[in-house]
Amino acid sequence: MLTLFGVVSVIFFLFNVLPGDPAQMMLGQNEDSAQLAIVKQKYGFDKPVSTQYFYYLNDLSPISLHSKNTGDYTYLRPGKYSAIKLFAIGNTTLVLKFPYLRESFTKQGKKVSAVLAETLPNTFVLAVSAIVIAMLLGIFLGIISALFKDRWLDKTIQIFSTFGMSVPSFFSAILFAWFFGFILHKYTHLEMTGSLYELDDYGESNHLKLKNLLLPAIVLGIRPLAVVIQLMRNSLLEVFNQDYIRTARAKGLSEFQIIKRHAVKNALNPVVTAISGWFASMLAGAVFVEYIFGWNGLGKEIVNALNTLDLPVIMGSVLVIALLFIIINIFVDIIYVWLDPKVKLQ
Amino acid sequence: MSSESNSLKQVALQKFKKNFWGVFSCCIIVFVGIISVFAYVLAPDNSQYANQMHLPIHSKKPGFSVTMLTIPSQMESHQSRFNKIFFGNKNSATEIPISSYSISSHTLTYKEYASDGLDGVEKTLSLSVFPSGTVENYLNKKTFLFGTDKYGRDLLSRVLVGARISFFIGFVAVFISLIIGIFMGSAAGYFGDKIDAFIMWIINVTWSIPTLLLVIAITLALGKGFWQVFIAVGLTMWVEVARVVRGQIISAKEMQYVTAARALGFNDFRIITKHILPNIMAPVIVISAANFASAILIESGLSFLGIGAQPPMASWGAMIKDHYNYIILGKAYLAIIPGLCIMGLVMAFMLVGNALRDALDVKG
Repeated sequence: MLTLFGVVSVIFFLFNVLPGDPAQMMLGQNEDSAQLAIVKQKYGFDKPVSTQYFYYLNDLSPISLHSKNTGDYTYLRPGKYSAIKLFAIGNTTLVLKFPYLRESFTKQGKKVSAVLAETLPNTFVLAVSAIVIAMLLGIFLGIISALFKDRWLDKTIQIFSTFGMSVPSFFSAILFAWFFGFILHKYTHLEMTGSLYELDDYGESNHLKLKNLLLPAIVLGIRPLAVVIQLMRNSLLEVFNQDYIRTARAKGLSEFQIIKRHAVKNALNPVVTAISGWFASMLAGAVFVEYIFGWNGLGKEIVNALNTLDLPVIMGSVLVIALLFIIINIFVDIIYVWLDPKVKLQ
Repeated sequence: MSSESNSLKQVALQKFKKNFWGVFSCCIIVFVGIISVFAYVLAPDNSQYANQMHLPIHSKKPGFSVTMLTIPSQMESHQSRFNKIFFGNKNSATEIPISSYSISSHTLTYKEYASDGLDGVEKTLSLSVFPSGTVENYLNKKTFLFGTDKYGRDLLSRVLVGARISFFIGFVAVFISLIIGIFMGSAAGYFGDKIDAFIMWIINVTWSIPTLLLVIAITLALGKGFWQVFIAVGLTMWVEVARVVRGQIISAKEMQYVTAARALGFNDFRIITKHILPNIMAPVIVISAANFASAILIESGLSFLGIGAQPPMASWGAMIKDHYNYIILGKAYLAIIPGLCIMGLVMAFMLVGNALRDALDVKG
């Protein structure tokens, strides 16, 4: 909670020292001073920074105060907030509402929350697929690597893993799109770009196109895959040195049984922690992959917003990703206890 | 002396030397370092940012060669030799690619180079433009080893000059992250309590915002440009350093040598800097190598998005951005060469980091 407050503050102050005038940005080239004043008043840009900061917090907080004066920024304009009135104190109303992320500058009047609701699920699907690929393949390759420690198979996997960590994601995305979507298009039938849902040829209905998911998910999964391989290998090697593995061997269990029953679950701990950390940064890292594959997700939206300086969209995206990161971390702590009963929740 | 060879540093160095990939990567890094310092001496095109454009010969294949007419610049150059070597020639001659020429007594007639079988424009030039009567000195065959980019600039030169930014950002970002990280980490770990809680809060906040987005936000706040990116990357990477330093200091604080130093009445600053820090440097060094690699990756990413180094400055990420559309036009090398450069350099730093980790015996 405190962390979230810090994140909100950091974001607000970073974006408020920007040299440009947000009201001017919204109106584009329109040099109408009267209109400018209206916009400034409507969005509270005419107020000092501290007041604007309070407005921002008030907008985001689920429980907030709102004025009854129509001229005030916090006035409960219909359509602006989706709120339930709790009770009134004098001129102000206390309401329970969905956090209000403000409106996009460039898409006139469109709420940032609506933009996020459109794009976030797509990114989520992409990130989850990538993580699943990375986890399954990574754990498998990690086990192999640990079993054949210091032999050529292990060394090949190690080199592959270091390789995967050092390729910039935009570069691998370009190469994959080019190679599988263009050169091998005849055999793979994959497109260079494409989203999860696409309009059909008649432009009427949205189609689910699962094959478009394949390339971006693989590309996005490369880095986590490399990390999982390394972690899995190292932690498995450590587990192999434990006494209970020696006991299991002495009992005459097959190597497969030892790995399946005794080693993997205990070796998974660091992998799970790392992967969850990766998940949130993947939501952000998807920026490049989505941009190149034309995947209609949050990352592409961020790039667009960057080019048009659509600040509320950028602020909202950063905020949502940070929130997800915090939530995921709480989940990780719970999974951690399940995997390792020695750790107790505080 | 035998006692010296047993010191921890010596042992680590010996171990490091045995790691083939570590040493090999170290050589690559030194090599790239030398290239980035002397980029303008090595590059065929030594104009500032290797920005000599020849539009008629844009995006030519590697190994392409053409006869080049060099018309010397009429302006006086006030640039010192030193400046030219390190920042490129700001006042360079005009270069015109030509397909054929003929010389008469007072004039030079040449046909401009035109691609795709088109006929170039024929132009005449008075010979008085060239200082010493020998026109032939100004007509040279020029070969583009890596081909030319979409503005007809020499790709090899751009790649060499671009090494600078990648290399430089690593240094600056790691330097900034070390200063802030060590300071914050040791304050949190050593003093504990409220200072620790406060610094941990800052760390958690910074950590919750994904690095790339935070860097984007900071660059937006500070304005576009490569210095801003340097600072932004440094300002986000200190977190990892601080976490490690803090953890190390918390355990080192209980050690007897710290108690001894306290008993001798040394002040906190002296205990931290002179006694604890030298003992916990190993993991910090390993993290810095990893940070170096990620700084290069982040910079190339930002340049790819167009918020890093601004044109005409050469940067590997920006070169990929400029040319990735050419990849389906059969000119994939334009984007692939800088991409391989980024990969190679990042990989070298990662391998050095791994080798250091093994040599210094750091866990994780």
